[in-house]
Amino acid sequence: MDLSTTNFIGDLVREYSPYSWVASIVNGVIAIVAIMAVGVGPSPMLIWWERKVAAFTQARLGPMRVGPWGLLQTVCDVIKLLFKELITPHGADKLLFFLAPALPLTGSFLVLAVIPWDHNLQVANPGMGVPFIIAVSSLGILGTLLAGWSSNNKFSLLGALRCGAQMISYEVSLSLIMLFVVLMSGSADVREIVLSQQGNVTDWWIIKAPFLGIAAFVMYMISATAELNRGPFDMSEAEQELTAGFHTEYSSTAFAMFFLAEYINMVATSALASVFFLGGFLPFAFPDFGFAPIVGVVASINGALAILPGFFWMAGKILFLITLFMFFRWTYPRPRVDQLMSLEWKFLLPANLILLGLGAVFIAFGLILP
Amino acid sequence: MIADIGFYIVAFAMLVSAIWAVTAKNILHSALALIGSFFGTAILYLMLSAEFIAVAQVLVYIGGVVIFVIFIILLTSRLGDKAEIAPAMRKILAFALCSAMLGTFLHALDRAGYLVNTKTATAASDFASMRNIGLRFLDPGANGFLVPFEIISLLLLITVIGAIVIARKEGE
Amino acid sequence: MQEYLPLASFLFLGAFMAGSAMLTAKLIAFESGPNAKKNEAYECGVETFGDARIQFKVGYYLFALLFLIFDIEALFLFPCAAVFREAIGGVSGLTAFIVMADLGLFIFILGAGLVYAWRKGALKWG
Repeated sequence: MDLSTTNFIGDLVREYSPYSWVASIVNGVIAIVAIMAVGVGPSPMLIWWERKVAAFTQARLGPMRVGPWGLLQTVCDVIKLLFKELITPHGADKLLFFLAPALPLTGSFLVLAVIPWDHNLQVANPGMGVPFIIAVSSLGILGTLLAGWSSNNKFSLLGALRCGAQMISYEVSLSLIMLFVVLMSGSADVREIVLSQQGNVTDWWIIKAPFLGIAAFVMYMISATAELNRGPFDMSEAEQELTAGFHTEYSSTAFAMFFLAEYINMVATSALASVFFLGGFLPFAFPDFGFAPIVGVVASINGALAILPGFFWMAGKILFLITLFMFFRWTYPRPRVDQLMSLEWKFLLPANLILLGLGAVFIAFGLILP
Repeated sequence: MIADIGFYIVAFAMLVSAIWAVTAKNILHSALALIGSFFGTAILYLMLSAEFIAVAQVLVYIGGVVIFVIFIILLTSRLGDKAEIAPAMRKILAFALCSAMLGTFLHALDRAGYLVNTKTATAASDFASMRNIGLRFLDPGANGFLVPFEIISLLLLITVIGAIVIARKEGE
Repeated sequence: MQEYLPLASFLFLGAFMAGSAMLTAKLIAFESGPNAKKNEAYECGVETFGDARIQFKVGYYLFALLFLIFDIEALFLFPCAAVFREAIGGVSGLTAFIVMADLGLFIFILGAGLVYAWRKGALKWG
């Protein structure tokens, strides 16, 4: 059994069970537990981390009272939210109102499921991984639109429309950048994309495609920030204009679900960025440029770095990218809605189309680094 | 055997959501029910091991068309509250037209020998794989779909132009 | 097909989680009883007026339409992008020039659509 390409637990079950669907069900159950642990578990930690980053950016201390350095603050907040009353506003469409919070959550779980966390840590690896990710991430948009409409509140509807317009616009950019990565690596399989970056740092797509890689990465980060509705692009909750946007009427755990989905989405988006551009679960390795005096030293350093399992590298890259998202939020002022839409349709989209064409030319003329 | 049971469950769910989509009083509920029906179609494609088409179904219909429809219902959301009740005459006409269409389809399928299918699917699992589809899109030969592929982009261009022309008329 | 079965369980996971969280809140949270003021839509404390479901400028639908078109475009380009290296290498008997020209034309026509929308002022929000 080749450990680097197989789905470990599933194949183990497949060996002992005559029915292959048993393996799939066992896989599914284990996957749910694992994703709960890696996807949902860090979310309270990330909320704490975000508050700390915000505080340090503004020369404050942030939460300090509950637990050491305020580590238990989020736990308290969650418990508080659980004891809040779930209010259904007058005139709300009950079915849609309570269905809406589940949709973004489902969408982000489905994205988490196809992300390769390590060589053997992936719930499912459909050959159509990248189009699948684009397809399911639209569930988040659906949830937003339905939440805004069903609340029977002017601010909610306005917020949902703005947020929906923003998300569908940047979805276009994101899918074109993913297309660029597929073009580069020659596969739409998420694991294959990671494995196409094997080697040292210069084999990561951010560097391997000269200039284009870094441009694509920067555009991915901008579009992802807008897609996640995070500051500075948090138009949907521009509080001085729209109260709280599409989730104004949500209270208690229903609100918590939107909040949770936002953070899980941030984990998923960062994980995808690391898969596409930063080598995913592959360890960091220095290049030696074939320069004889350093080859031995570099090889031993790289060997030492590769001891850490892939999952840690993946987690490290994700944490780095998430912190980057947090810096964006607390550094830049918020643009106007029309500026945001212009940025997408008049700058990012044409730039993406050109990027795609240049990528094809680079491949044709062999300009991709070996 | 399991696949057969799966097929009937999915088909039943599709039928229920399709009926819900047609009969719902609220158009937004209709749009939601449409998702169920589209999703069922995607599962059926998957069962036929047409992976790419299944993902395309979800991407274009659920992630594209339904969101488009809901976005527009939201823009004109006065309509969202209650569906217009069609006059009885129109209902009868619609029913007759739909029955005629169903009859035509059934007849055509029967003639082609697909209505009572005794053969099991034997197509190679990579027949509709992404790689094969991609290669045939780019193939100018007799076996390829180069011209239809280019015409698709032309069709999309025409859609943009048409939509803008209509929207401008309404705006002015 | 096998690969998609575990994904099916994830489909229900979101609904299950959201449902159970809201049920928990319903069960353990303090409720203050029905109250006309409490259930009113929150519009910054001002009494709500008119219908919440208002009519917007229909021209915004162009953004949704452009999204749909580029969505479909990306879908068609995915299989081509995935086999591009192979096709350009001539492995599958395709000529590199024709492959480049195809994709170039496809992207160019869509770009023309975008330029048209831009020139007609359809990309203006508000």
